[in-house]
Amino acid sequence: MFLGIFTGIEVLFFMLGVLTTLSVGGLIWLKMNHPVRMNSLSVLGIGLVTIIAAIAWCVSSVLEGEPQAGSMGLMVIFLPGLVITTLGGRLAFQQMK
Amino acid sequence: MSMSAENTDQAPVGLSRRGLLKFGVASGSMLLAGQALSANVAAAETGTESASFPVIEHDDFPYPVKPDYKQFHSENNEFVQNHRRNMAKYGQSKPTGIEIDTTQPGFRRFESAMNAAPWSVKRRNTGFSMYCQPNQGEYGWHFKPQGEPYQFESRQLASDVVKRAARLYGADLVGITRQDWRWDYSAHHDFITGENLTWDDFPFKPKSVIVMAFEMDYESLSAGPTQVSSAATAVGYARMQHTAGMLAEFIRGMGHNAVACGNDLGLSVPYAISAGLGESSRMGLLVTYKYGPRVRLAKVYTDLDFFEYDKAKTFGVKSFCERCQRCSDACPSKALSRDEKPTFDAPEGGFQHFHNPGIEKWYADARKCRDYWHESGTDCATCITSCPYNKPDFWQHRMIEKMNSIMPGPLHTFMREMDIWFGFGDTFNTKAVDKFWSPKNRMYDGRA
Repeated sequence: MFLGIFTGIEVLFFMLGVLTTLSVGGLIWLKMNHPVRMNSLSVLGIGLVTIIAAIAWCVSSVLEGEPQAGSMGLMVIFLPGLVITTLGGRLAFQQMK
Repeated sequence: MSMSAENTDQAPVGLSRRGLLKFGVASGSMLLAGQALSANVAAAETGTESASFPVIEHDDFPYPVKPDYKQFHSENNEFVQNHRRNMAKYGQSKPTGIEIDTTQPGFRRFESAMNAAPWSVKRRNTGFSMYCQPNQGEYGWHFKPQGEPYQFESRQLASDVVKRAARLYGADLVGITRQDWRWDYSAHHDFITGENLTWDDFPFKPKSVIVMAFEMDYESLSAGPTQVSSAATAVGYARMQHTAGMLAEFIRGMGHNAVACGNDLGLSVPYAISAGLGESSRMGLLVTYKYGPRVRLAKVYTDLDFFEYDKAKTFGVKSFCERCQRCSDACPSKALSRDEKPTFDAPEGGFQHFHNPGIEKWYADARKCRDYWHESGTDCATCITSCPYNKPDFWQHRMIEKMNSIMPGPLHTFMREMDIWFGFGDTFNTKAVDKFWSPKNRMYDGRA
């Protein structure tokens, strides 16, 4: 798959690790540098975790040869994740002003 | 609620002690949860028999059996009775099946040949053992143990050694249980000769039964019911005889008696349940934790009883089957029970020869099932294909199955609907045949 060394699922979980690290880092940065409350950060965190879970589900479904499951994952997991992340982001942004 | 300017000015920037504590507690909980999960994974990988959540271990057979339960006579199995009916009706010139359009995907010449090949190999080695014909080839009763019986240092070591050898020989799942007269046939019927062998003819008194499960190919079964899906069943039978044959020979090499078998000698499903390989289901088939119902079963009877026996395990299949019913919806011959709860007695329509009453289970109509095999020219298996436990071996399905086990019953109906929406378990899907043959994302030289 990737450079003929790693399988798709290995690359996926490496990228998920990178995304998780960036998300956690971003949340800590927000907390340390801006007056953002924990409840806003929690909503944002839940949204980010849901989006990461959606990416994991959708890419895995495509890799196992079940694209319909991937499409449904976008609707059922990714979209709610996007809504929650937007909500959390807006709450955090208001507190940063 | 918006923050006032005053509050904003006073709001602490950076991690407070309290915030740090919250982060610490959250991170610690995640680490502990991760550690617990990885411990279970490590236990599973090393074969350590710790019943990891949500699997429940049982000291006895996990389903009620009536005291007046009687042993099953292998002559009553539907394969034998169907053969007998056909012979009475047509004699030797009985038709092998109906006319099938050999231009449609799934029934083309190369697909029929792919299905026929493993069956031929299987029949050359172990005859019609799939119809419970006893004492055939690799499943023969005449092989003798070699030398003095080897004594293991401990029961656990004996179990570990036998299971590891079975895995090496090709078994995907292995369990060991005590011999149980309830699951042994009362007599062993040879439908070719008409002879009935008894346990007195058997060369030794068996004390343990080693049960092995063999995974069938997911993509192949997804193409059911066709010759492509039937080939997965055929391959399973061909693998069974070699692995079980080698394991029996291995035990005989240690100086103990052993006889390998497939569908003969005893009922494979209850033995597999007793050996902790899985649960009973609405289909009447074994549902395993890893492969769902997508397995075939072989057994080795031995007089070696110095084993650490496995315990029966349940993980929520019965509860899920009560509400799911995808298999009975998908069954083209309507042979599967639609009762919500399992029963002790034969279903509506009364007792038939293939029923084995006295055990709490869902009773299927084997005659309707078998007739459809003839009608479709396949081994059908739409029940296996449609079962929500039949999934590729990917992390997300393992996660969903764990969730299924802990969720209350009403949510199982929702899970069944989601399984349909997500596109799993389609039957009569001609695209699945194309997908099986597609070279896309396959490199047969091993690079991917």
